Amino acid sequence: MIVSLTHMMTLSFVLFLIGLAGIFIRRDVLTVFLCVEIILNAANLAFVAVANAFGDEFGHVAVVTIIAIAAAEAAIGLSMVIKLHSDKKSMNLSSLNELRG
Amino acid sequence: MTSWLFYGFSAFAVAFAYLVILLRNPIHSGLALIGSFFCVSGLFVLMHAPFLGVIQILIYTGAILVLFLYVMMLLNLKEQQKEDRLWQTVARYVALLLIPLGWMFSLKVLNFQRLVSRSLPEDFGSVHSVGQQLLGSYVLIFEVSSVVLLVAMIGVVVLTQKKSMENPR
Repeated sequence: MIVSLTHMMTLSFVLFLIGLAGIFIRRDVLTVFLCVEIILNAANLAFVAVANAFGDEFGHVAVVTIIAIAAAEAAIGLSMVIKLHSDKKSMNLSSLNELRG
Repeated sequence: MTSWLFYGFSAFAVAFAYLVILLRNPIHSGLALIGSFFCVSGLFVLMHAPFLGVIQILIYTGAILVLFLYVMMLLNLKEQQKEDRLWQTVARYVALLLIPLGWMFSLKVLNFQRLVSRSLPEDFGSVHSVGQQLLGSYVLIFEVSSVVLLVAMIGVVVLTQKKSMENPR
């Protein structure tokens, strides 16, 4: 039996919700980045599920691209985290209040 | 057999993702995320995407998440978490309640059963076939992602250098 698209989209949606909830409930920069990775992974899962269901390989190409962009995002984000750590000595998102956000 | 593998991988992927947002220590969160990515890679293989399954483990887990763990160990996080305010605690439990609600909602609303009827070609998702697509029809996306990586590399070098000359601390 091939796994059905409904199940995979549901799983992808749940992973997305977990990542989104994590972004809102955690105040820790590194964990928020990890939650962004969960969300990207949920998007990957949806792409692969649709590619599998429709027999179109564009989904696979999109996943490869998303992984490349996730690598770029992780590199830039982590360098900003290192900057933040050396400037503020804190990993808490609440300490980023220069813009009065 | 395949559906049991699917349910097992899905359950573990969701459980590890929960652990990522519930564990206090960021290093533990990173390790849980590695577990979740391994399960998702198993799902990729089940969905006729063996190349992406390997890529997921080699590049996503082996390079990106290990980079995260390196930075966490480099920063040597020791400080105590600040105590949350009340509305943050309430928001945390509301958010955790939303997840099973979203699950039920999507099972009710999303119904793609009829779309899944196609039989796939023999080499669907293999290295050969994905490579043909990536360097054939979608070569522009491929090239643009290489430019994105180059820009990210330059950006990281600029961001992390010490500005001792122009901005002395």
